[in-house]
Amino acid sequence: MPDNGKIEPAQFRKLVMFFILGRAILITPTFLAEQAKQDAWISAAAGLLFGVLIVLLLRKMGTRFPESTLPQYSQGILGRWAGSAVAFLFFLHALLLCSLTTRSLSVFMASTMMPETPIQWIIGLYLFIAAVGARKGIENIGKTADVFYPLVVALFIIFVVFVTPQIEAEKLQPVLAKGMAPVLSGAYQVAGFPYMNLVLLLPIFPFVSDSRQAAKSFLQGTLLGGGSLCILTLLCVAVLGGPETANELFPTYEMAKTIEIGMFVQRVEAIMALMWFITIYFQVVICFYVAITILAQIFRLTDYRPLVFPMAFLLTAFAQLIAPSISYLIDFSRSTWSSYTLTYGLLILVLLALAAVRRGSGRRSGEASPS
Amino acid sequence: MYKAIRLTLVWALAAAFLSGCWNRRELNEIAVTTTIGLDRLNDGNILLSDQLLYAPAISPIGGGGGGDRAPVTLLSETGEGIQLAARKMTMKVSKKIYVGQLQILVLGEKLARSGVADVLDHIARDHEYRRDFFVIVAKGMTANEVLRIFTPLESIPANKLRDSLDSSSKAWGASGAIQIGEFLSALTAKGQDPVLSGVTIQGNPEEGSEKESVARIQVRSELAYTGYAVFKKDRLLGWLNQRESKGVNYVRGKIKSTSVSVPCPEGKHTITVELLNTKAKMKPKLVNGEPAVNVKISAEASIADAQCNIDMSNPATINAIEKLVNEEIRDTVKDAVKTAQTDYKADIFGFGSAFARSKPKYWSGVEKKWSEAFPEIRVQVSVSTKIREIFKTKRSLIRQMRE
Repeated sequence: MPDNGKIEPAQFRKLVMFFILGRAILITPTFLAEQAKQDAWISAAAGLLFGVLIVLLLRKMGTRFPESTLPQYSQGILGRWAGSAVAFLFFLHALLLCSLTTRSLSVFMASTMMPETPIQWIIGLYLFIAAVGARKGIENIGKTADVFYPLVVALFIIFVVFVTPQIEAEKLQPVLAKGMAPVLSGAYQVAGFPYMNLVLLLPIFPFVSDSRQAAKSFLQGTLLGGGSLCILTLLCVAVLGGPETANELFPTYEMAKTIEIGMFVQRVEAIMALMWFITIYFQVVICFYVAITILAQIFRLTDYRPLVFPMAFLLTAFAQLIAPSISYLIDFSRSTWSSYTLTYGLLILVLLALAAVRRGSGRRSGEASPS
Repeated sequence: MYKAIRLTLVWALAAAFLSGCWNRRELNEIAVTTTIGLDRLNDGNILLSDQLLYAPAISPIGGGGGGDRAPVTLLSETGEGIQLAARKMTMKVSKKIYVGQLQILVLGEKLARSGVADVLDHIARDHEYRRDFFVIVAKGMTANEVLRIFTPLESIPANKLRDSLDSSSKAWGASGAIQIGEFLSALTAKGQDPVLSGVTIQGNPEEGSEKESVARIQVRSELAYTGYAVFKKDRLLGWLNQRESKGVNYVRGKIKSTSVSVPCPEGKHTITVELLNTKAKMKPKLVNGEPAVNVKISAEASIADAQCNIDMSNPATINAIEKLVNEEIRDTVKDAVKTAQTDYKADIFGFGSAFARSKPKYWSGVEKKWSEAFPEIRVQVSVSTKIREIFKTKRSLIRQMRE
């Protein structure tokens, strides 16, 4: 393995949670509300159900190969060339998600806070921090999660408490007026983003010190992150209403703007935005780290670190090239991403798992751990 | 050597990033606008009027009053839209105009009648505008005229407009402190038409725009709120009087507190009760396929002023007064409903959205022709008032005198 670091199962749980919230915390409510209007929160819950199923599958894969990483065992299962090709597809997935997330963050900054700041600065700065984080290795990323976890939890609780007075419960009605179809197409959106992206956490799985605990943490983190996402979507609909949630580009931020407790707690949305700067950072740094470690393993490098800064430069350009405009970005996220991740993440993974079972590679479930 | 290069790099980076934000704006480089007025000109363009704070006039060190200068300056500019006019305005002003502290947006009546959606898109879109400033309509005049008036007690007109709207909507209930976010949602909401409070100049507008106006004890003219402006979609149709506006607020559950006068059980005088904690519930239903709405209003009240010969330690008296108050509130609501249904055909109560919430099947059938369906709705109003307090005295002054 290119990195000798280890992370605790608890740190892995936090990483999973941050990874799910990541960019989703900003934009998922709007894509859900576009489909399901006031039932967006039901979509979010249905999507979480799907997410749990995915995680159960991913766990199987992770515990089957507790000691080796994805490129290693895909090479083991499919042979050197085909295995490398599959690993390369995962590398592309990580690369794309990383650029997409960075670009979304910069769009958010440019359209709500700093319209005159060139986005390449925002992208570059963000990727610089991500590069430093990835260079220091997985142990560092895990400890960073430890540091920021209390802050994110505190901000989230404060956010929910402050927004609660603005809730108008009748905005949630009528429930399921148009049947299940819009709800399911919303769930499809949220299944594609963020839950299908969880496949990118698989390469990190072997770094967790205890693989049985790691499997538990994976599910717990998913439930925590997905649960928070459901709560945020519910709040968005209850505060802004279905149609407006669908029309706002960043509904959670718009909701934070409504916070007003007396004359003193108001205009706190910038503080609330800190919450998603942190969660998005983890999404970016994990994608970044996964991308370069996969690449290092494909080319059998003993150290992935020389790849870090070239990759940062590549991503800085990529994040700008990925979408010519915000409209393209919205359309791509809405109509392409889910089917993209389904083919990349789920299909390839299922095929890989089937091949592993057929060839009998890896540890079968129930078999005792060798250590 | 390598270490020295690294150190230099770190220093250079720190210098680049710590030197400040990219688009920073220093306080002395911005002009804060607290009130914006919008009017439609005859050629279809808009007239943007910005009231800018004159900083020395409001600083406590400068003597509060601000000497011989007005505490705010009014700038106006025309353009096809707000953004264009605002940028053109920079030709006239020494600083960049900052709208993040905007308190009040005044729409001229002519603009409101011609439709506001096209003009307000910029406000919904631009990041610098917040969602929490109030929107009002200048009744029978332009917004520009409203922004010229000196206000007593508050030297900054925006503060007077904001506080008086806030306090009157909380204590009297014939106006509504409606924020831009709420108004924009009401514009796009299905089955609900928006309302906005009106403002007008009482007295002579010319004299009110002279500083001498506020130098007197009784000002020559002042800004006063009126009843609601009724919108259909984004167009103003007409006005409600104060009583009808209260009726609207009863149905919407927006009466925080108000006073209601009813005639004495016997005699020609009146009793005034203070309402507290009113609640409203809207229950849409279909009677033989015909839409009807049950509005249930409950209120707690206290007797604030009794000009008749009664003894309030007697529960029967209190019951009688409760009944009178119930009738009075019901009539107020009925008046408002009647005006909205017959004069304007505008669903300012949100009956349509109530149907959409609880009778989605029915709603999807009538959604497109709601303007025709709305005037036909039967509205039943039931009010239950509980008188809780009679305050300090048991019998009215008149009763005590006669005993």
